[in-house]
Amino acid sequence: MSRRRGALLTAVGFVLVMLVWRELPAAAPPVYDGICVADPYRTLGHSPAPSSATKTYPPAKDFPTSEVITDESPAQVQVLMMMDTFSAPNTSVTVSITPMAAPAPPPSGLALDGNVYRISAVDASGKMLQPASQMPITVLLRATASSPAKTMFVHSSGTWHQLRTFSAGCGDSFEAVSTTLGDFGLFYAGGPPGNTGGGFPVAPVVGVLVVVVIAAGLGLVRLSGTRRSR
Amino acid sequence: MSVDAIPRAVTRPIAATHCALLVIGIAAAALLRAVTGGADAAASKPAALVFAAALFVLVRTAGWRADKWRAVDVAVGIGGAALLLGAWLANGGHLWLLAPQHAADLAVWSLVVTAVAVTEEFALRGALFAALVRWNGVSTAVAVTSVVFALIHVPLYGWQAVPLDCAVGVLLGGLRVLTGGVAAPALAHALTDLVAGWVG
Repeated sequence: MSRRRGALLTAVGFVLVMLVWRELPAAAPPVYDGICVADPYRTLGHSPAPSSATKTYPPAKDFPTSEVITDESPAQVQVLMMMDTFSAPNTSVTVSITPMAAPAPPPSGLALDGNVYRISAVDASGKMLQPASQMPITVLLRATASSPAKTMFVHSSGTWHQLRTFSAGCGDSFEAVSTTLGDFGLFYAGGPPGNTGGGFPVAPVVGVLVVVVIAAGLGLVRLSGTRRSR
Repeated sequence: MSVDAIPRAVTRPIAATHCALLVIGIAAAALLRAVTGGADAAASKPAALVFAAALFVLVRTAGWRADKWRAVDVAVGIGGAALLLGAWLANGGHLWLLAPQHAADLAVWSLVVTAVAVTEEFALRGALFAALVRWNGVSTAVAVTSVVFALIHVPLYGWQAVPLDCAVGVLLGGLRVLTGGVAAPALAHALTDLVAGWVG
């Protein structure tokens, strides 16, 4: 009975994982414990410089499912594209990622974290391309720190547009789906990223939490004694 | 008189208190990880080790002991990892190896990740699961440990991680029920984290 129930629960769990993952944005974090191996963030204007990336797709009937990734570890920018993202039959398509200065001041009340990246696509004649209407791209940008939470914006048509942003886990990455190409950046509200200060009493809070863990442990020891004595 | 021979009406309140203390302790350990990790809690190795140590203390004080690992547990654990990694790959996960200069970091990282995954399983699918079964049965144990598993990751990833981690918790709970021990879920959890970290 237990084995049958266990097998059933495992199968249900697997189906749930498949369903939930299907609904999550592409490349959602697979690492449940988060710990990352990451190079320091590369900031534009400092050494080492952040990398660019360019990929040219030869003429084809259908644009393939693919990705363009900068070469930091982990990548500071990833662009994920589905099949037929660009409708440009019989011509090559070049997708580029280029770090750049912010094209405009941040949206009101927000500050920029890390670099702004221009993500563009052109055909063989140099004509700028945009994703097909039903084929948005997924953009992952690495932040300088995971906290505070970041929101991705794309600057296109002269203004910043907010994108629904998710934490992508490893390497302080955040991801969003965008229907347009343009200049992408991560923004945050409040103090500078990486600053947990701001008056937050870390030491007392840590002390209280340690006491709670110890108290729970002592309670468990005492409870175990009660169970044994009965 | 053995514990099993004590009437349920007597043991149930004790088991409920046991569960409550474990949940409080696990929640405090998760918060401790978030606070000590600061802005990079999800990537902080010291914070992860503090978390693992706190969970280990709770597991030991709860009087829970892991059973010996059997070959079948190892096989089921590997199968569970294959399911989790398969689901990830089937839904857009992509592989690339970390740059060679990270080899030394990766060795330390692997030890920390394994410590966290195994202590999480000992605390959740081990000590807490056993207490919940005594209190209210297997179904409650699977449900509560899955929810707690998801909630302890909220300080790292935010609320959007809850559905996925709940689902993963059900799968790992299934492995716990299937094998009757914690070895299979611990192995599945650790292998998934390690492989996803090495090539994800």
